[in-house]
Amino acid sequence: MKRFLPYRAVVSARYRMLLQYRAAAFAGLVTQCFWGAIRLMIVAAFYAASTQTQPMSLPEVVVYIWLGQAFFGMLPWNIDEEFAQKVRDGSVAYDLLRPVDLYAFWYSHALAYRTAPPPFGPSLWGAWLSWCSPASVWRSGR
Amino acid sequence: MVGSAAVASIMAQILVENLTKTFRVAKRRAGLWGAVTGLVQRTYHDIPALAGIDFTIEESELVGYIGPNGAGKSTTVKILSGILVPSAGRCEVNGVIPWKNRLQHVQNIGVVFGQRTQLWWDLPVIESFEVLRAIYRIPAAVFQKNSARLIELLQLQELLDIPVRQLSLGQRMRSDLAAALLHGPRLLFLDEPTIGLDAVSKLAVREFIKMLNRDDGVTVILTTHDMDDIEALCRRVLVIGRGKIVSDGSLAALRATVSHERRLIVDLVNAQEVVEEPTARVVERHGRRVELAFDPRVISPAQLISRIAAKHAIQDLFVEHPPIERIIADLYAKHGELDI
Repeated sequence: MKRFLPYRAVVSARYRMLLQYRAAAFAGLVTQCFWGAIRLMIVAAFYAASTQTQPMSLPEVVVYIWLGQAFFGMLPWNIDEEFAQKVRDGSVAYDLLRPVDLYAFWYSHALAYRTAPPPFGPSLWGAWLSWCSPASVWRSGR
Repeated sequence: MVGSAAVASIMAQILVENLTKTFRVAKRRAGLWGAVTGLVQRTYHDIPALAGIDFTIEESELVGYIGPNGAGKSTTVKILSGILVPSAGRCEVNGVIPWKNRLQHVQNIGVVFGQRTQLWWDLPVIESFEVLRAIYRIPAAVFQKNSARLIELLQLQELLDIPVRQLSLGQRMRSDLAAALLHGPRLLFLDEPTIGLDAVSKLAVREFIKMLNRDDGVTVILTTHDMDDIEALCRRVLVIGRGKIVSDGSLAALRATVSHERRLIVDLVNAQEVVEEPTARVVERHGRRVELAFDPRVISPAQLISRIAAKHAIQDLFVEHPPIERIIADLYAKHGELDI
């Protein structure tokens, strides 16, 4: 496992760094929950209005939506600003000064960026939300 | 390989021969239409950053590497540290070609770029050190020893738990220096390490570099625009201009190549007196203070002083070298490097 020592350290450092900004992490969580709630309400409205049997039951869709929100951060639809910044200001030179494989080094950076804990917040939060109050209506699936 | 070159490469820690780097840059055309046509058809022009430089550096040397902006200092440092690939020429550091064996090479060098940091911006200093320990795979005992020593020498104890973004520039530079040395490199590149620092921090950084070179025998290559750095630290100075080495030698030799001139500064008792001396010229005059430039090969300082003392009442006097800034500026001008 010694081989992976540098890369593990990078992932862990990046996690700690990303978790520093509490306000940003919290804002991300709220955004994800908000979007999840909107998607859920739309689907619930369609399900309520439709007379046909849907291919997926409402509880299944609820789980699907919250999973989607949880893993949203892992989708490669944006780029890690830090790399762009590094290239622009030349600090990329420091990355080349490290006795590590550059691809693996950057990969571990990206890995941390994509999997930093906040994205998983919505799934827990959402699961709880869907479980309580009005969610019980959806659970019944009608 | 030729015999003498082979010997040289064993002897010298850094060997640079006819090193050339040319950057190929796309020409930009003006305006929006220019930008659009630039997408389809491009013309390039070559910018020579290094036009064939040669030098060798022995183990435990402390070399100042100076030159005007854009002369090729940073390019050289980047080639020597394995970041850039040169266009032509030969370069070996510890018998290794930096850009070909990058992983092996960087394990044995430390680099500090004064204008940017290698520490993790949002993490406390000590956590950056820990990450570097893992990246360089520094054995625990070695890390303990090195970090304890660096923390003591650079007085980092109080800073260890502070996120790097909250450090002052001087504190950050000290931390950066420590970060570059945790893995105990035998060769250290410093690219403008005192840029923007206040006087106290500058002195601390200089003192540390000096000690590192003297006590640990670490080879240091220092690029700077601060001539006090050079004056305080470097026995040998390499001057680069327009991608060529224009001077290589001791500070005294560098002074001699440009001018032998020295300064005699005299404070007269009477401010009204006019000082006229055939062998010296008056450079500046402020009230009672007269600054004379003279060539010690024409007239010795003692002779000049006694001549002036014979004619004028003197309150105080001293002899000094022209400031090194002047020398460097003259040298750049000589090589057509001074932008006016």
